[in-house]
Amino acid sequence: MAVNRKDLAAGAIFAAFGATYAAITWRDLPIGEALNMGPGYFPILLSSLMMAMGATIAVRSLGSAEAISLAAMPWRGPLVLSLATVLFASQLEGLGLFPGILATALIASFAASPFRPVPALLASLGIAILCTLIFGYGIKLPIPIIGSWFRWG
Amino acid sequence: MELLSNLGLGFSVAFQPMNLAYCFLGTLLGTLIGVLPGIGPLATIAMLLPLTFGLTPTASLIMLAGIFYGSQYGGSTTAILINLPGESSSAVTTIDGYQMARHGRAGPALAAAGLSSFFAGTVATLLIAIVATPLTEIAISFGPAEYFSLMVVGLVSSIALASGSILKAICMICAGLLLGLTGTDIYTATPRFTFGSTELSDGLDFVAIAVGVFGVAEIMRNLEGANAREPIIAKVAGLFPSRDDLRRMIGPSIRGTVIGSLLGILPGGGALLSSFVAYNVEKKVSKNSAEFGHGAIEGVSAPEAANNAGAQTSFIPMLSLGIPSNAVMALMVGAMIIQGITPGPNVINNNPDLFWGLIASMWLGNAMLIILNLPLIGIWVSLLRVPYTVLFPAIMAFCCIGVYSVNNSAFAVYEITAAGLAGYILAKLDCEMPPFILGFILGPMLEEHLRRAMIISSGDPTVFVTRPISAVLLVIAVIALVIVSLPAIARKREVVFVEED
Repeated sequence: MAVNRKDLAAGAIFAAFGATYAAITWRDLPIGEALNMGPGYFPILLSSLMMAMGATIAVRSLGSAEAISLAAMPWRGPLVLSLATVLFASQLEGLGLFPGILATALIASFAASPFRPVPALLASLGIAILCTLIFGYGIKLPIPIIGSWFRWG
Repeated sequence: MELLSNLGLGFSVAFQPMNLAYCFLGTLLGTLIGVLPGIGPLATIAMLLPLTFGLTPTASLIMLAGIFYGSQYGGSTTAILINLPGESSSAVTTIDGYQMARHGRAGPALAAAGLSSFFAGTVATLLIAIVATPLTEIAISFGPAEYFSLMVVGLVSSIALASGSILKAICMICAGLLLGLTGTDIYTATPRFTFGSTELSDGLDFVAIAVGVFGVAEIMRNLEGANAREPIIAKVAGLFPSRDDLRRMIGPSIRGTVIGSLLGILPGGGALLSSFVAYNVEKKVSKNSAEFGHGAIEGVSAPEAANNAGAQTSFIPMLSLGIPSNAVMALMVGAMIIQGITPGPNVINNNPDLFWGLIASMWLGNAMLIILNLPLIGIWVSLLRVPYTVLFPAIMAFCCIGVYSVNNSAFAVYEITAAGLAGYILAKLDCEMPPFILGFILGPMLEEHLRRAMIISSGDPTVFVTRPISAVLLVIAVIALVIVSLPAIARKREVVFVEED
């Protein structure tokens, strides 16, 4: 008997997700009845099924034939990439289209190891020019090409 | 004769200069992105989706279809030249294709892939034109109970195709269905699962979710792999296959096309299963079976014909019934909904120009692919040299601005972040995304049909088993579920999918 930690984690996540959704449904949404289903009827079915399945996965993982540990999670890539998207979403208006895309691509470049500044800068410039042409001049997004932060006076 | 006039209408639409241009642009962009190693058709379609939304519905679907088979085709090129399948459906092509390339026959291998795919595409396109009309006529008589059961079949078969645990796949479907319900309930106008946010009252942004789970999560996973590994690219010399090669391609192409066309129609089928089955069948029936694995041209022709045929015929359930049979088709359905077209049997009557134009453009797109790929192969080879470390920041930036542009919404970009992280963590726990995205697309439809079926039957749940078509569909779903859970099959599935990885 060994523990499959991957399954244990997956089962726990699913069960927790199901439980959260079941709780929200129970609190906020009328269930109704089969003839006249309320907005909570289908969600309560799904979230209950998910809780049951998640719990089953978790319980079965405790009696696994072989021990499986959680693979190492290298956090650098996911964190840097998430930071790049969050920065893009929050700062695009102020930065403007061209600087915003340039900054996003440059920050994303830091997810690579080793980080090589010159190719990263060149690639980021390239994509920024391309996207500015497509989305700024082609699709005409209502975002300034150069944002207000770079304007004086 | 009706078929001829329909196809005539289709070609007249497809040959309109704008549509022709978007078909070309789609196949070009699809090939361009699909050739890049580590980016499959799902990621390609997801990241290019935003570019199509400004177009008319017909042009946008023509372009999307072009992107799809372009990326599929680009994947075969990488499979042959650097032994790295751009996507799972060309994984079997690496076996013999790369061996051919190593023996200095990369050119004939690429030509075999191209010509077989074109042949298969032609046959499959005709098949779509022939089968789609009668199928829509049957589907017109479907009530909500039948639709509900049909979607259940679709969801269950996505479990059969997931390589991992069945329970996990079911959980992923449920998660997709639940997240798909986010937004305002259509019957009572009650906001559901919006956590008080006004941005969520229209639901989660489908493009953002697709880009997150297929694009960003994939990049996160690729980054932890062997980075900075320079691929060894086989040299391409002498593109044209010899007469002997051509003769050896005929049988496998035909058999591959038949297998691919049949498996493509099945819900959950499509390109991946087709190419795998075709390769194994060919290995058994071929006179040259000893050569398989060492560069047999049959081993390139058959799976390439099959995956292209399967990719095309998987449009049949999507176009005639409105049911996506795999994740790629789920993205197409999502795009149709955004364009204001309700997928289903009415498309053929309400939008005949779109329906037949799309079908005709598939054939044109396949012809363009041959032209794009064989003479221009040098360009694609040079793309293979672009290192991933340069590529992925560009893709990230492109995804962000693309998703932003759909609704000018910064909130959608936050959704990418969340979907990307969640997709990455779940992938690390061996959970697969295709069942999730199918659930996400089908969630609202499934609920609507369930509710309507129950209202019509006055709350009697037996309606699903007393209506014959619905009952048959549910029996199919149950059988499929039982088959995949049998221990013997479960073990076999593991082997199949491990070989494909």
